[in-house]
Amino acid sequence: MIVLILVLSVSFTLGCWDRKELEDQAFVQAIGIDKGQDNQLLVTFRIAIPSKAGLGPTGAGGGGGGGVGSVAAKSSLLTTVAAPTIPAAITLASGYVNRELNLMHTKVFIFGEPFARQGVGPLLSILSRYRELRRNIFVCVAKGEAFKLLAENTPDLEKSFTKYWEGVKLLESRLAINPGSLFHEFAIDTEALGISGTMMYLAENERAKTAKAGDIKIPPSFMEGNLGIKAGEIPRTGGNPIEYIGTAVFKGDKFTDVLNLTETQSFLMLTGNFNRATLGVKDPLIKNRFIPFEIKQGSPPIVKVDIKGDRVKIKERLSVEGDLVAIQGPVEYATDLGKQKLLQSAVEKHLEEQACSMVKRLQKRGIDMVGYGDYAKRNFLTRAEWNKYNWPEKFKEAEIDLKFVFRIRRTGLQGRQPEIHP
Amino acid sequence: MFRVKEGKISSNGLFVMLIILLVAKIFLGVPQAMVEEGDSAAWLLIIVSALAAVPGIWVLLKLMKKFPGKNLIQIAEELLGRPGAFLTGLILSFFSLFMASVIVREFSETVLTTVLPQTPISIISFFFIGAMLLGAYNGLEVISRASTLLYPFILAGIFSILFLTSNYINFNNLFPIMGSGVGKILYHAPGRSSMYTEVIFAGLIAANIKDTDVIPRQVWKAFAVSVVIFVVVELFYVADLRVPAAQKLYVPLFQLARLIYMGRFIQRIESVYIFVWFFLGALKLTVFLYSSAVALGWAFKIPIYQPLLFPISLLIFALSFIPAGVYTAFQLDMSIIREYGAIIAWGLPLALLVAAAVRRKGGGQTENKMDK
Repeated sequence: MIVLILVLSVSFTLGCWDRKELEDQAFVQAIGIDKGQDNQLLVTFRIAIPSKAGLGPTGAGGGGGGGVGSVAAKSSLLTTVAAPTIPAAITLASGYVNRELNLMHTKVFIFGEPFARQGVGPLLSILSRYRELRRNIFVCVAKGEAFKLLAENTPDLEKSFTKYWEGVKLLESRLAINPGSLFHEFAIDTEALGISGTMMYLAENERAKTAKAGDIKIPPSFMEGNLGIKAGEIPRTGGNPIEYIGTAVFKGDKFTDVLNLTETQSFLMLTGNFNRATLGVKDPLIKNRFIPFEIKQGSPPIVKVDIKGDRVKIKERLSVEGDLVAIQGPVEYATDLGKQKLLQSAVEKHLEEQACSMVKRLQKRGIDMVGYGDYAKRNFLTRAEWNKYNWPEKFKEAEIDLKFVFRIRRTGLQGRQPEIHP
Repeated sequence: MFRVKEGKISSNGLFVMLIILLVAKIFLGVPQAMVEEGDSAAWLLIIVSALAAVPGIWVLLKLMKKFPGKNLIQIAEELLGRPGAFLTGLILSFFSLFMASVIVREFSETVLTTVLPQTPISIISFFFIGAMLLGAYNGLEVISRASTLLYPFILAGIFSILFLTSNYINFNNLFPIMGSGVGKILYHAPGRSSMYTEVIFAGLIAANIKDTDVIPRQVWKAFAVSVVIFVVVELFYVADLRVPAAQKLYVPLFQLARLIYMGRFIQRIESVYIFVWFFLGALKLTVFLYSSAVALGWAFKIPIYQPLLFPISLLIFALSFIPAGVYTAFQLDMSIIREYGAIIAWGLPLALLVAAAVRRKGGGQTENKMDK
């Protein structure tokens, strides 16, 4: 019996049916989806060329824009196909790529803005059902067309697009500049009644390719020490023209709004997903001076939603901690506890204003992206009662009270400010 | 006295085998079906359905206590004569056979959908059948030892998935606390007590357990551990996924395994779990095949059950292809076996207990001389 089973195992476990040789596969690293003509899709594939991967130096080797020299771009193929469905696009692309397209290593799905505004619903199914795609794939909205963004994306430091996208995602926890959205998170939020879905927001910075350092225009929010910009707006020259700052906000399956960098940080704090970031606030005692902090969330936010009939009261309490990175003015915030208290209050006010304006702007449109509805559900016993309550409408009228508690924990490697003599 | 030649196992072996039998279904559609009916209170549905199973298990253990050292078929023979034993043997054999055929199909479909999409389903089923044939041929002792060996890996397999997906947990997903409502939970609970029907296996191998006194304790222990595992998995599943998504996913634990993303290094590790699941499925099927053959042996008074294994596995193989597709196969399990299986699992011991009361037989004094 054992011999028989061994013989049969040898015969049948060769993987005859599911045998896939590496050199027969074309591994897709990124997929872009745009609206094509006549209700068709424009599907863009960034396909890895493993034989060219890791060869040569990274980046273009100086100067403006990673451009044609980017190793990641050189070690991959970019192609766009018009097709009625994604599987059809895979079939068509395999017709000239010379290999079977394989989506098992796809890291990111990028939706072009016009397509995302129309609604990404019809494509959610393939992301959930298709075996080769994973629920932890990154999802993004590109300003303009996804195919243009994929074509312009020329990472300077990475030899592989896979590593590049992992790096983009990592910035969620390192600097909180994007929400690092996974398809899984977007899908479950979109299906739920009490929260709206989000994606990362990407855009090309066209000025970065042409502007001279002296011509860089400063965004108005910078005057307030506030980085109120989103992808495509970084005042700079050189480097990869593609930026990934901000959050694409959805209502249902439709892309409706964008949160800038500071709003994204507020959003991550309010949802308890904020890890750490830098924050600059105006010096409360000296005009035109700013104080940068490294901040992190002290504890998970405490949210309470009280419902009395149609009246909804939302209370959120947040604890944020910060380390002083620099003090531009001469005030001794590091050693004078009274002044430190004053600075803490200024930061609390700054964080509150920033968060309130973002939440209220979206609230007017019935978008509950923080997910207060999730907490509101606790007031109901059954799903039927909750569904009947019609949260999206009630949320529009809700009274929202946000309070931040900010504490300076560390003041860096120096005590008093340096004394500068005229 | 007639006796089918089987081995002897310890009561601890029974405990481990029952855990394998009960818990294996968590890798199939059970977590999803529970959310479908219980909504965010799926965990509560599991607890209430476990409570609904308690009287059934109590009846089975009471019967086993009245007739120590005897299996259900021997008890039926003592109470109802030869026809009763024949009928009981047939019912248990066909029940196991039917469950095995559905589960072969479910596990095969799972392997096909997740890792080997191009392989013909007959080849995948063939390997399950081959594994169960080999296990059942070697008998109860081997099955018990294999279960003991696999047991820690299964627990590690389940809990490591839950731990590695803990970054997705949102406890708000467990609200509204009563989910689909008390009425619906109470309505579905009796049917869902069928999740524990595998406990009847203890009644089938009662005559082969060395220390009969501790059988009830081991059965209750296995039952309690399984309920705890079900509840914990369900809580994590719903907390990770939100109810609307959790109601729609096939093979939920595999989906959770695919979700593992703990930074750049810990991701795409679901393949590690595939092996555990295959062996778990194969082991569960082995027990069903063994039960079916032994019950048939007792029914027809065939002292050696091994010759029955091949024809029964052929039947299981053939029957497993009756469902038209994956959805029908899962429906067959969740809508028939896990809904009405309780009638056989709890009904048969109850009928025998009633017969014992009417005929005033059994009282814990009877000894099965053949066991000595």
